[in-house]
Amino acid sequence: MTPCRISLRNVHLRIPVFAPNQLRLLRRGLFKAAVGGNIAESNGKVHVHALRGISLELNRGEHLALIGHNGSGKTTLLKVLAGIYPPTEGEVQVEGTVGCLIDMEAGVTAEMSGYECIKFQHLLYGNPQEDWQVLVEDIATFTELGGYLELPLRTYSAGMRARLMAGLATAWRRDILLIDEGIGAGDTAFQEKLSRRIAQLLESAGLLVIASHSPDLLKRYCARGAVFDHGQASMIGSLDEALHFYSTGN
Amino acid sequence: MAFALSFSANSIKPYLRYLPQSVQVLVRPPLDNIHLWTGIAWIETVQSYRRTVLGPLWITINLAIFTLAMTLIYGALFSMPTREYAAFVACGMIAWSWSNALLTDLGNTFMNYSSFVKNSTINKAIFIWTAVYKQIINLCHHMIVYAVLVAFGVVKFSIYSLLFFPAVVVMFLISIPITAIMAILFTRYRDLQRLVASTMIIFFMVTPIFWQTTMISGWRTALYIFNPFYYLVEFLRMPLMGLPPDPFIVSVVLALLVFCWIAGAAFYKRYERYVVFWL
Repeated sequence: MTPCRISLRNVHLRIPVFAPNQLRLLRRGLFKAAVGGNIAESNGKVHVHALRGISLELNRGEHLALIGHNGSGKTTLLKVLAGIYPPTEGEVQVEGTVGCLIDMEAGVTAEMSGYECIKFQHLLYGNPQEDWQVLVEDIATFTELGGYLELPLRTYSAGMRARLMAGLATAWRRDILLIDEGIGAGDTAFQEKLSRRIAQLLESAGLLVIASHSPDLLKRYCARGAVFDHGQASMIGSLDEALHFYSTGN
Repeated sequence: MAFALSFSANSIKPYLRYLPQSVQVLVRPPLDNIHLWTGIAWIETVQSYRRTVLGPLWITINLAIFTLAMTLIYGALFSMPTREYAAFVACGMIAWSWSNALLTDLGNTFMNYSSFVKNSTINKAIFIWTAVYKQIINLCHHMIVYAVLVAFGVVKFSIYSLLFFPAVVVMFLISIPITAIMAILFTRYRDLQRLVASTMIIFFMVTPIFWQTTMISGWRTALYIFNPFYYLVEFLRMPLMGLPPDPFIVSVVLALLVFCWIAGAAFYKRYERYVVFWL
């Protein structure tokens, strides 16, 4: 079995802010805002202290749910795990191939047909050796888009687009899956299909970290939960405890 | 094309470890994923033809019209033989369009690919190679004008014309570190793009593209002697015109290549990690 492990040790992330009148914003006391992490200043530069001392240890099969208000640092943590954000302080170790399903629409243009979109994503995230026709068939049956795959994406409804993206997002097997909220789009029947597909994917994926506001979705996949608050992990434990902590505050 | 590239990449790879660490950062990911940058560049080119009849060929038409107009006006002003001047201007413009892109289009690389840089695990060096590879695709479009000029006997074809291929390879290699620097600077300092764009108009004037170095004398020769664009343009233009290579120009370009890699790789390694915050 390939190694599959995530280890974070006291990870801090400060994101520099480039805004007009940086310091005036500060003086107005914006840094005590209810939403978000902490805004602070050093050497006259404003930054958001987006992650504060996160320590985390995850091994194969320990699927983790990230819970927290908007702007509490859930997506930021996923991006650190994916290697998109380099940590300002602390140590990040990720072993295994990472599938990052944060924004599947990157680089997809409205003029691409469904097929081209699949081909493009295959180029970006797939294996050059495998045949993309197999992928097309898999996604065509899963999304039920049929003949629409021949049409450019600009003719798609939001739901159809979401189906295609969800199909693509779950098309490849990865050791570590990082999923941000919003993957659960489409109608009820499609939701069922999608959750079956994700469950299938998880049988071979070693580790899942998912950020979501839907307790039902989280309960389906995760046993562990972490509650985020202003960039800090205020508790890490079983999912039930975490959900309880999140709703009651203790 | 892709096959030839991956074949040569595989033969280079074992020697990569002898390169400095900073150079490897910029070279290894693209060489490991050749299908990625060639593929992205190709798909984008195909996309740019969508819903247009001519698509990117418009750049080629621009080039043709420009050459024609310059030949008619300046050829007469400089009282140069029409054919000779047309060949000079067309080849110079083909060379200029890439040299010019080094400090303009290529600087927008990370901004153009910001959705990838911010949301995907694809290495940033891939996008630098993609952007530079697109310059080769642009060059292929321009070669249509060149082919027409050769067919009509305006441009003389000779054995030295074959040197165009190694010249393109050198130009590709020199573009990678320059793009790495410019793309990072453009991302961090948003004014730079406008500033450089207007500066390039001046460079276009002072670089011998529609005038020849023999036309000026005295202190004005400094305009091209100390102008790096002169060497880049001349480096591509000479084989295009079927002229034998000038050892001085070739050595300046090769020195520039080494300098750009030393500076570019060090700069990229130092600042690459901040790009995502600046986007």
